Amino acid sequence: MPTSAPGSVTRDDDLTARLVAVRDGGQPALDALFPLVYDRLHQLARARAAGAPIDATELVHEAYLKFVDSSRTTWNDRQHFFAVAARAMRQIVVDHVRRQGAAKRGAGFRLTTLGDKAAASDAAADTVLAVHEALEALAATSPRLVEVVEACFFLGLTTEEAGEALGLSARTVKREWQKARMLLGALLAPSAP
Amino acid sequence: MTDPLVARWADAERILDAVLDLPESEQPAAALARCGDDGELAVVVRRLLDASHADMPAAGGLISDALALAGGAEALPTRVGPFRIVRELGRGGMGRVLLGVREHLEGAPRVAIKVLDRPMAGSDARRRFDRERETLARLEHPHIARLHDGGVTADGTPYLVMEFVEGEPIDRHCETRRLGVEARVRLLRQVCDAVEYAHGRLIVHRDLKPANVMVDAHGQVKLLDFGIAKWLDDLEADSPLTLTAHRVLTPAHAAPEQFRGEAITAATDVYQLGLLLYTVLTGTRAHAVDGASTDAVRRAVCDVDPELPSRAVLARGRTSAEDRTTARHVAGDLDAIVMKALRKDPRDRYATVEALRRDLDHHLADRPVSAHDGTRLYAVRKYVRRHPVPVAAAGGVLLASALALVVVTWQARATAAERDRAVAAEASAEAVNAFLVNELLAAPTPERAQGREVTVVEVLGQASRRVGASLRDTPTVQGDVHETLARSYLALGRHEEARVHAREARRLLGSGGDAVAELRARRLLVDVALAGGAVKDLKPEADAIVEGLRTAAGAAHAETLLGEATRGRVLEALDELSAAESALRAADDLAARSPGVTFEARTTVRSAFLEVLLANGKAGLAEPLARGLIETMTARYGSSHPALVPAGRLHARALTALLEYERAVEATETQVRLHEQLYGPDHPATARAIHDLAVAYGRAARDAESFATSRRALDIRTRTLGLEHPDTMTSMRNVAISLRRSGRPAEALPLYRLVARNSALALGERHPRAIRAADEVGSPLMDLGHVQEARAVRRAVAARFATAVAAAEVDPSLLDSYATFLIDVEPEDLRDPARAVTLARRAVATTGRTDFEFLRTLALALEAAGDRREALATAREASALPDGLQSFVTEDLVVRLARTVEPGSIEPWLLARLERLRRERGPDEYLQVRSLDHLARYYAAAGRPAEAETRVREELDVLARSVPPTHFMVGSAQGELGERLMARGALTEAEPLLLKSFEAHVASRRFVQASRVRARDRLVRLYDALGRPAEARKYRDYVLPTFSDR
Repeated sequence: MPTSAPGSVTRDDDLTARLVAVRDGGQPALDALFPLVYDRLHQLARARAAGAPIDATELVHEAYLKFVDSSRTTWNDRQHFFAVAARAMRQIVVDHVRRQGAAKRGAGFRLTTLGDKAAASDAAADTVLAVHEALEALAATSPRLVEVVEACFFLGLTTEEAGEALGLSARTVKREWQKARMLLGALLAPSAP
Repeated sequence: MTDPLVARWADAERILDAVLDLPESEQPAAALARCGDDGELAVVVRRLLDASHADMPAAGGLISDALALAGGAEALPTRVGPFRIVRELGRGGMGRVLLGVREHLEGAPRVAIKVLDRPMAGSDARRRFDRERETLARLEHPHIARLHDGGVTADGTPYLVMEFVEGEPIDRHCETRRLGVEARVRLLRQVCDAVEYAHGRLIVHRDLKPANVMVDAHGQVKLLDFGIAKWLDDLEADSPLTLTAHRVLTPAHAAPEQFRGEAITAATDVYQLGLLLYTVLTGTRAHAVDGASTDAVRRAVCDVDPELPSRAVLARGRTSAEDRTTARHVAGDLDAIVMKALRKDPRDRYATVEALRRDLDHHLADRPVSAHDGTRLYAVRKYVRRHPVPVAAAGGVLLASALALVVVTWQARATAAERDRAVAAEASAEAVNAFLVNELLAAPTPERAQGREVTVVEVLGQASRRVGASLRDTPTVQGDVHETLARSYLALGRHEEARVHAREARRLLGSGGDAVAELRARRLLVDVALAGGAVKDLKPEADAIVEGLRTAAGAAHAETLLGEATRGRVLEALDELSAAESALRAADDLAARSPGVTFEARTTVRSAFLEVLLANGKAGLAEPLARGLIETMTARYGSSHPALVPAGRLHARALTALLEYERAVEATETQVRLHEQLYGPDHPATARAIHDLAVAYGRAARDAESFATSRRALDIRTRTLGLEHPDTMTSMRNVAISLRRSGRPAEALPLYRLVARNSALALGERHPRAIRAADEVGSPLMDLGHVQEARAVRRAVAARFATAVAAAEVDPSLLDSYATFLIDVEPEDLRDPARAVTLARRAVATTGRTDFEFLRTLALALEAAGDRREALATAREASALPDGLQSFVTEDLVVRLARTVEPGSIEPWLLARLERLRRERGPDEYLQVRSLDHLARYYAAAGRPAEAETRVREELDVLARSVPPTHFMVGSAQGELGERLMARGALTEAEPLLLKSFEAHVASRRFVQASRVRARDRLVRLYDALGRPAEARKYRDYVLPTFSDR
């Protein structure tokens, strides 16, 4: 797989070609795209690590601009890219949380004091994992809801942006996001069994 | 063990879909009803509905951490200084931020430790770092994260220890909590508070961005990294590797001056607060910079104006009702506040954070905000900056330039209202602003959508049609808008439309109970009438308005002074120039002395004063004032602003009157071009500039151009003002004079008659200008040999003068006109020098011997009456006045009188005058030509030929520097020099000069026939002396053209 030096801008013909292939190929092509996007996001994050703070949305926009040859793609391809990127972002975050958890347990300190930022962060880690697991369970029955959560929660898109990325109306996204937040809120509420 | 929430989600979701559109209070019952007997589903649905208000936990920080680490996890240090590291909090442009806790200290608070990613070199840098740190450590404010400590690790890495803030960045805080607009503004207010505090201690943040503005669980703001950016810069400057003094830490949040490498000041923080407010209100960035290169960001930040926040909210794609509510709330005040903070030029922003904070307070309290002040002016200034030379189109005046006029007009009003400080006035000003800005500047017309420039007449027409409907409930606001529309139409030379709106304004404001507003509307009606040329009966109303304003607002009030300006212009139009001048001089003094008076009122009064000075022949006084006015206005508006055009015209007129031919013609030609661009070719103001140009050509002895130009002015005025307007009469008179001068009295006569008739109609039978116009009909009649008829005309004029001066109150200009008439009227039996002296004395006395024209008339009258001694003294007195300096007639008179009365005084008087001219007007001053000419003649007559020749040569030198070679004065001086050369036998040197002089005499109508004969005779004498009889004969037999005398 071609990789470029961190920070350098390289159009990735392979990525672009696979993106274009999604147009005709549907889900299988989409799945083939996933590792590429995942890798590029990693790569960009690495290039950024020494510099500016990282914002998930920004990162994906940047990845698209840098790696995809827009002269060969259409608006629909861009939507696909964002949809895949949202899923990749989810994977990146979950991977990270899992590694962190392992590291902490291994290092022998796990802070649990309430009100502590670290604890809050741990709580967020738990949240992320819980959300991830819930999405896994819902993948089959409510794929649209899963996509919306990936875009809004993991990628940090606004409902409008998410609508564009997913080819849904902003109204639909809002409604899905509202239901998702109800579901996730209920799942994570302290009163949950 | 799947949670039933997940297991039963498909069923629960169906129910949610069915009930979520219902009002919230009805949802539970409706949802539970749909569960039927399904107990488990009912529990699930109940849990979902209960959770709907709970906040979704934020994951953002975690996601950024994840990404940072995903990029290649860096080992965490276990300790930094005395702190044990718990974990990484984040990364920034300057390094990483770690969560630490002091070791061996029970219950110590956690701290954020910023570890910089560059080592610090040298002890100097170290000292500076310590000093800076101490300064920052003294910032103690509830909304600023404290800097506790700092140091340098063993490997030379500097670090800062700061208060650890639990919370989330302000933008995320607002989004996750779905805060309303007001709550968001309140958060920003806290930020301003903190920044204001730091600015008071001379510390600038310069890296304000959402990530540095945290909000804790209690909704309290904490600013991170205060002063760190500056400190980092210093650190960088110490490093031999870096050459740049400033670096932009976060391009997307940088101010234009940071990109331009200009000084970073408190204004930079104002800008970044503007960006912050933008993001917090709209959820988007002011500049679309996602993934863009730094260069692209630089271009966007430095050159592109962000979209209005209220539009940005709606531009995010398909919009919800919530967005529309937000947009409505943000439109207006908040738009204006944000945009003012985001101006590219730091000087255009809020001067202080305090001013920005006060506007936020005003907005929260529903009081008017200051951000609107100058907005339109700013918009226009920008438009003009982008379109420095507005292009005139055939279809009318273009929006850009005309809008500038409208807005300048409106600006004058808005600031005047502001002085009153009455809340009602402000609210009304604001409403008018809103209407105008919407209708004029922002109205989306189909034409604009197609990219076609819209003429202002179209836009005004559209606005006019909508005033009634959109402002029905607020008659005073409606009145204000009508007033502004009237002024706009006035500026466009559309007097009919202006009158309609002015009447509406008068009606609406007259019933509003605000005396000043009513008087303002009445003044507007006077201005409209004045522009339309209906001046005859305006004086009582103008007087009443000024009186009323003095009572209602005080003498030194902007509105009162504007009233004075209007009245001054009425008096000027009525030719009551002395009264106009003294009233305007007083108003101008008062305006200059009163600090509270608006700039616009001051310049309006000054312009009116200048007009009357020029009309009164006092260009010497007017010229420096006009120059000063241009400078002041340039300082205020910039050099390409349309408001400068009228001032430029006044200055050009002053130059013309001062006989600075070349400069005057050039300046006036420029004025015509500017007027055509600004007003379009068919506009009264353009006609005025063209008229000025005709005068300038005339003064420069470019007669053919003067004639053609006068005709152009007359054409435009006839078309735009009508045949009876006084300005049309002025142009017609000039054309008539030109026709007569070119020997076409038959064509001139009907024009003179028309001028006489219409002047009487417009100004009244007894008006001095009307009487003078009647008098002038006699001249072409004489030319045509209709002596009897001419006599009759003059007799009638004499009778009219006599009647007019018998009135109780007589303007000195009438006395002066009558006196002049009595001095040299044809037929001679109507002359009455004694009476002329009496009348001229009255005029002189009325003005306290300060008016040079009246003094000159008195001198001429005294000469005619035979009192040459007093005549000489009076003529010298006139000449000594500032505006006597440029009068040839007065100089000729002094020399003529002195020749018989006091010949010994001629030389010293002329030398003194010459010195004064050079001192006051410079070495190239054209006026000294006449004095040099007089001196040369004097020396020649006194038998001092060498001095005479020196002076003539000097004269030719000055002419070469000040006028074109075709100027008639050049031909005249060449003849004089040839004469001197001939006298001392330098015949070959004299020949070319005398030939040129002769040609000039034949070509120009400026010479009297006698000097033409003299020029011919010189050639005859020359060729006789040279012994070339054929040439001598040729000139002896030369038939000179005859021109009618002027």
